Amino acid sequence: MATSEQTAFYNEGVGHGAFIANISAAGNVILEDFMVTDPSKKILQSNQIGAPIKAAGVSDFVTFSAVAQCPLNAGNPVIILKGETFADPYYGFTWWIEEVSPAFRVGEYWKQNIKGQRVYGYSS
Amino acid sequence: MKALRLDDIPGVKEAVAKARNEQFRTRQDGWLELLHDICGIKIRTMTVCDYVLLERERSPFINRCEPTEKDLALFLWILSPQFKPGKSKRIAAFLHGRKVHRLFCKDIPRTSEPAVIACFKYIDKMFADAPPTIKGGAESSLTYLTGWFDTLQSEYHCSEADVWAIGVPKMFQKLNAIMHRKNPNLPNFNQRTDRIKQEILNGLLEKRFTLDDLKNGKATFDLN
Repeated sequence: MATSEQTAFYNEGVGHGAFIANISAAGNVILEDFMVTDPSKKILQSNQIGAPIKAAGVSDFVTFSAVAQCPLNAGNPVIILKGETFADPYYGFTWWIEEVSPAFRVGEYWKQNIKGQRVYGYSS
Repeated sequence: MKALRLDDIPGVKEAVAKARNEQFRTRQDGWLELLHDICGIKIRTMTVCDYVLLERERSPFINRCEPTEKDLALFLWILSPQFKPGKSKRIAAFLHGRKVHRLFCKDIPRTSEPAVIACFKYIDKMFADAPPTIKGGAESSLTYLTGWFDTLQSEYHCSEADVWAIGVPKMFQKLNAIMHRKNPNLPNFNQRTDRIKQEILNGLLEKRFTLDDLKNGKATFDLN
């Protein structure tokens, strides 16, 4: 049986397990390697000579990356377009897709890399 | 907007784990270059040279169409351990053909069908890791052989003879490794797990079941 070390080469096994996302225009798509980046940024206040006075941390915009397996309509892949939205089952956030790669194909399977950002001020 | 984890669908987690293990074993077999059994006849792991020969012979096993008994005999002879490209072995070929006829062609299709199915499964195994292509890519002016030889020779500095003799599954795995090293964002394909996922997507698209049916174990689809 493969161990995690054996299968983790070349990003295999990175991110969450696969899930079915209902994407606004493309319909049901399977997303795998769903990886969320939740960065923070520091706000620093220093005095006139640069010595620290105050520091605070605030959350930055949350982003994701994933690999989408495209559904087929009469043998043709339904390509995911930027601007589409979906919800995820792990965080319960709504996301909008801001970057899509060309569709890669092996046999009858088509995949796209997608990246995007959490939709703020909107609950799913 | 709904979302459903595949792990929450009864049976899918186990099926995906089984498919991953099978793919792992198939990939390992590609490196070990084992003999394969076609209903009692042993054949080698396909090399680049074998592939070109079968392609030149327009083998239906390569082109995915229905073979005749002659096609079956030729396929099994080209891939037999006795066959050496460029060396005439007429008596061995005749005896091999007679054996194929005796085993599989007495009562076609009853006797030939299991062998033909086993040959197509063998082809699936050989091409399980064929590297991805890109939709909308420009038509290449180069033959596929140029791509294979150029990539392997420039990365591994091996001779042309080495590339002709390399097993097709091992070559595809090496090409994938090179592609992933040069482009880490390339998606991973796994024919076996991808097939399960595609089955689910097709069922949803054709409205054979809904997300709720999947979650409650009411959907039926082929997990094997």
